[in-house]
Amino acid sequence: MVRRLYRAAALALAAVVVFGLFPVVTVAAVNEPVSMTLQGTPLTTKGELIDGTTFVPLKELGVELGSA
Amino acid sequence: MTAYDPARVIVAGPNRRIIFSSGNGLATVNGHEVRSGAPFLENDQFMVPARFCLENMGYRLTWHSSPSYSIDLVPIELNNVVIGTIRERQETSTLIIDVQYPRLSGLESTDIQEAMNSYFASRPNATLQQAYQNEKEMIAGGFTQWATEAALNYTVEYNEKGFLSLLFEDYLYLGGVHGNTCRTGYLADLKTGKTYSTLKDLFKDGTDYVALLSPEVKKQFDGMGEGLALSPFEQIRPDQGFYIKGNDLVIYFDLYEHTPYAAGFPEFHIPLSTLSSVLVPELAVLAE
Repeated sequence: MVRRLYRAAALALAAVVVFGLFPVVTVAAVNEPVSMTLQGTPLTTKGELIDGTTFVPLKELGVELGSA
Repeated sequence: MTAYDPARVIVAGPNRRIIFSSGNGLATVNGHEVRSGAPFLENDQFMVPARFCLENMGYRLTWHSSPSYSIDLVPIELNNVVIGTIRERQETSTLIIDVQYPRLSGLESTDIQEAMNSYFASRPNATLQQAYQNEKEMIAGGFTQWATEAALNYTVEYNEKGFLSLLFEDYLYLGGVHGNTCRTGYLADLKTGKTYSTLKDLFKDGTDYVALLSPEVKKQFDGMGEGLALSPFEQIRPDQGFYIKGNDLVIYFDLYEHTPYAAGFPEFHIPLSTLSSVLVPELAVLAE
């Protein structure tokens, strides 16, 4: 029993040391919808703002602009 | 407009062909390799960087952050010119050269076209001579663990209403912690071949353009935040770098001019419409 407790404590300590030295940092991407208009007329295609850059679905936007 | 390939995405339009390579954040526009932002696949759709893709396909983007994020697209009529790219690469253990410069075709006047292409082809020479000389000196001094590097590239910033504005960036690494980049803005009338190489060329004689532009630059610079300035900014230089982008005159500072290296090239957009009364008559069309 005492040996198990020592082992658990050692593992916990190791985890603290390892993750303390090498913290796992997770940065959540900011993923905001961006609406689009063509000369003021709303488009159905939506973009996404990710870390300061807007991305658009190429095929969907291409089709919509092509038919606009 | 689009074609799919397992390794690349192709977007084709009038005089334009963009190829996004998978994963490396680079794309080629008519063979011109530029940083674009990496596209990715989401719900079976290729998501591409909006500004890069749409500006190259002939749209102007206006960004709005209020009341919600939105983009307004306006189709623009691009000049009837094909902007191809010449690329020269060379790599040894002591020298890395990667030069890209534009080559125009399709202009009405072949004389003007040749004069412009001749300038584009010759402008890398001075930087390359510096690189070759530095390589020689590094080898002579026994410093062969670092390669001298020259990477010259350009972007098309404006290509409408008979005018072409480019921005050249020349990166040179001669040893030390990091290399240095020099920018050169370029504005030319594609019909006459006239180039506007300094800010003074944009304005009517007698215009005190330094006094005219400096307050707006100062306002924008001060708005960039405390602590960014290496030195206080009072007014622009008479030969401050510039280029044209969309409806704006863009004025930029060089590296270290007023800010640290990490700040890059601070840019200040000034609507051309606010300058229409002082621009030389042939440039009035840019302010319309």
